[in-house]
Amino acid sequence: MQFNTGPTGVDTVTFVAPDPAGPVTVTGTLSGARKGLAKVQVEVKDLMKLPIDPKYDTTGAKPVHPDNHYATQSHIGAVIALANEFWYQFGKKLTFNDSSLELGGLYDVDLGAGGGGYWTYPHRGHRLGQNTDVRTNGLVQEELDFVWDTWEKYGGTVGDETNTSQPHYHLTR
Amino acid sequence: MRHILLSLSLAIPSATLVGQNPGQKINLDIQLASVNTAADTSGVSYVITNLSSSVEPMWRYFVDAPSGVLRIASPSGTFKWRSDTSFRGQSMARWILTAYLAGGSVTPELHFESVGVPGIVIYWAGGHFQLPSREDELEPDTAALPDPLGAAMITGKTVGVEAWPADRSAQALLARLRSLTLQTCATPLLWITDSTLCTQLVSDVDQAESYRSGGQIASAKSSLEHYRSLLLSGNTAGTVKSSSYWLLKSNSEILDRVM
Repeated sequence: MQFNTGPTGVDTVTFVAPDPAGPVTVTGTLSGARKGLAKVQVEVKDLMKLPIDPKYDTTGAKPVHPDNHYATQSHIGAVIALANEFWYQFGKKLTFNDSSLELGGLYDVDLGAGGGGYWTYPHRGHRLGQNTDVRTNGLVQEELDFVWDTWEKYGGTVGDETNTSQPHYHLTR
Repeated sequence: MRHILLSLSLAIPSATLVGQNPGQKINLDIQLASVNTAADTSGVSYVITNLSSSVEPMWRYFVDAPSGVLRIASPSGTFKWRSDTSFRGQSMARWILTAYLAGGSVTPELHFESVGVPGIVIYWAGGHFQLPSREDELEPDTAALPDPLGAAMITGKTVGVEAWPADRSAQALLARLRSLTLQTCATPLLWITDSTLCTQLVSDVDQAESYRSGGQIASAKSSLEHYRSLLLSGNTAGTVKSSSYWLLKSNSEILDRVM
């Protein structure tokens, strides 16, 4: 974009972050003057990684997105509590698929053959660290209902994606 | 005419189809099976019928427990139940069926105990339904997430356990019993449908207070004994619902111990 600073040589511009998170360099140029650079980190702040724990499994990591279990501290706490309650109730592990990427932002889940390519076919959610998918393969109705009721107990909502190619419950909180 | 009106009132279930959201398409009859009190603790037992007019099978039943849940039972029997003691940071007695209760079916006794006195509290009950897909939703403001208690469950008043009032004197507890009696006789509860009986019950409480303040404790207790006999005959006649019978009986028995 071009603009006229007037005689002061100073003006304010507004940078609108793109959907994908990551480092962005904003460059300012002026004829006869030195180029100016500003580095902006586009991210959802303070997301934390779901720690490894013997009471649950994680899945869904890909070479381009090896870290797919970042979320807000509150969300991570609820996911761990759900897994613990499930473990003590049924003696089974839950398997958590995608949460958010390390910096949040657009999550282009459908990479590779048959997908739309990089940054083109995202989960619509999974950007702010408030979503986690939990696999429903191998869970009986009683166990599914336990996940539903317990997640609502923690203040969240549950979406049913069991009729998809990757059957799961979509947890939001 | 009086008999006809009575029949009609008995046909009205204690909860109606109050909402049409998924989870709310149930119609329940919630009966008190018993209320017992010992020392500072009260226990309440419910028996619930999922009426045949329900569209959904019953899945969950929650009762507000403002002073916390001391003990809760997971009933055994035909159906498998799970119990819990909180929901979204609020103390509740919660029962969740691991199968579902079809219309026309009855639960076993659902029992819990709390420190406190029997009182009027809120219940929530939910039917089981097909969850919606949410994968294509953008993440909402988490503060705006729907509350299943309001969005996917029906609610109403029942008998539960309230915290002990700050003033545990006989005078204060008699005033509380009078207030509870009036509440159960009035709308919206109408747990006692005989207005003449309501007048007699309030009169007994007033008489008990009059005797108590005059130091005639035996006579005060006798007034409460008469109060309970009226409740029992009303319950037998069908004009005193199980909720009011157990609520008022148990609170009057606490007074017997306090005076």
